[in-house]
Amino acid sequence: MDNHRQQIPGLQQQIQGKPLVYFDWAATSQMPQVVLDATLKAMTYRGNVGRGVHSISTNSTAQLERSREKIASFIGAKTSDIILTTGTTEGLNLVASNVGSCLQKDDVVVLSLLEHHANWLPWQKVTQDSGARLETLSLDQHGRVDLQALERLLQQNSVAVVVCSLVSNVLGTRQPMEAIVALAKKYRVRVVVDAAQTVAHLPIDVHRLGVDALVFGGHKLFAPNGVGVLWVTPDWMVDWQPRLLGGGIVEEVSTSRHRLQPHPRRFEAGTLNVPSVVGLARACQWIEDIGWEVIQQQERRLSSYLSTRLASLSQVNLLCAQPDIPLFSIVVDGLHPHDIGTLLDLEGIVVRTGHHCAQPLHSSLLGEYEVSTRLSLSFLNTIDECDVFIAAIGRIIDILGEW
Amino acid sequence: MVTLYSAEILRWSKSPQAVDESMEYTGQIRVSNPICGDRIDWYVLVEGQQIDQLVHQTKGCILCKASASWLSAQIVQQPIASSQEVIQQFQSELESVLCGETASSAVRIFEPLQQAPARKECVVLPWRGLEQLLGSLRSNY
Repeated sequence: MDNHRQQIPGLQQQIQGKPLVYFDWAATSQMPQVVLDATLKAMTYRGNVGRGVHSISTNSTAQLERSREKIASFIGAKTSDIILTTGTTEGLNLVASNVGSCLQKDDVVVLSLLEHHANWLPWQKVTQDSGARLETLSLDQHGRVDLQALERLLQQNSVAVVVCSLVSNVLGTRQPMEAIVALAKKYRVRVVVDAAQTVAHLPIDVHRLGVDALVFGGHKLFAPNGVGVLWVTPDWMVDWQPRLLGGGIVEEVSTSRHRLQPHPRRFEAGTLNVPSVVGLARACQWIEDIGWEVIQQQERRLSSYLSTRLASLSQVNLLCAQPDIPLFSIVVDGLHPHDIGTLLDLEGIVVRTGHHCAQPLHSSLLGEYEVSTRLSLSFLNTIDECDVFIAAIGRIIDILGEW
Repeated sequence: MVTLYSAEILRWSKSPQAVDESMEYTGQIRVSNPICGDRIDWYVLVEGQQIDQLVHQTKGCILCKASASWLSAQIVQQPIASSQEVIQQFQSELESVLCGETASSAVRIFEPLQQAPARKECVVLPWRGLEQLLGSLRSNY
């Protein structure tokens, strides 16, 4: 793994005079040099895409379209079925607003308890605006959605859509999406998937999953900020309208009306963040060059090692002992996550503290206003770094525990 | 381990906080930061324009608990008006400290916050809560 680590400048830095141990990949990833180079090159030699006839514009447009193809193929999709967005949040808002425009009073939107605030907020708004109901899909004791509860909700025959993360950003559990889809299809209900926490850890094939819409953001996938993807099954997308209107999405405009381009281009108004799109495509290629087998093997090794070491610390409580990606949210007896996070930072160890934009899940698992400390790893981390963390958390517990 | 968690800070964070259920109070407020889970309940007994008794119950991090306890000790037995000024002064001095200036003796205990400026909110949340409570009490008199 050393070879791959050396390709990530962000991992070479020191924090507080100590070598960085980066355990915050679920918040945002560090980028390999090839992605930085591709992004910078696209910024350096840029032309406005899809507008000009000159060479620079034509080159940029061709680069954008090649990038689009790469990104689509990365999730097993057709280029014509993906919408380039600014990130996961925009994708989810676009889905919610289009579903919301068709919701009627007493329709039901089913949202899993796992969801990120980027999913809760738009669905809360569209259900409140339409008079529809928002039902929470509960979890089983292993941190996976309760399929029996889902079937009971679907039996009401008023469910418009089921919304669920593929992997939880707090528990690290992969949801039984194939079973969720099978149940939903039985009742002719669409399924929307937030794959933000999946794309850097598990291969995705949208057709194999069988879902109707899937979103993710580039910055979780070793790519720059400000770019994301929304894939929508074409027979659904055809009914959708853009949230944003502007240049680049029209076929014709008069002083009184306009005619939009076909899907999906009508959803990409304005000037796209082309350098970030190019960077995302390069990141997809980088992942494929390394290979999922290598990535998953290393992640399983890290997960197994860290879960065992964490379990050996009696004061450390794991919110999920067996995640499907190397992500562990912990609560340490008597210690507040912010104190832990600050003290770890002073040791060069970077973790996330708080509710990780999943306050409903934290409230349900731990109580109102309760929070946790999250360690999220990637295949680029090492066993040595796990040892550094375990030693540091042990020192913190020893010293603060005395008080 | 680090100066941010000095013995003084840790001592303040462990100061008795339990509210005597028989305590009479003229004002109460709860302030919280849902992002990190810090939550402070202030109870104040005012006689005339003077703070006669001031108690808090704080659930949160070490810095937040220490800050609330430390502030209680600075404010009790003071007139409401001057207490508000003191709190505002503390906030102003803390801002200066975070800009790299040397702390005045009043807020020196929090000078190591320069190491972790992201934790400022943990320290000032109790101050803002008490300031708000005193403001509402003062307007009632």
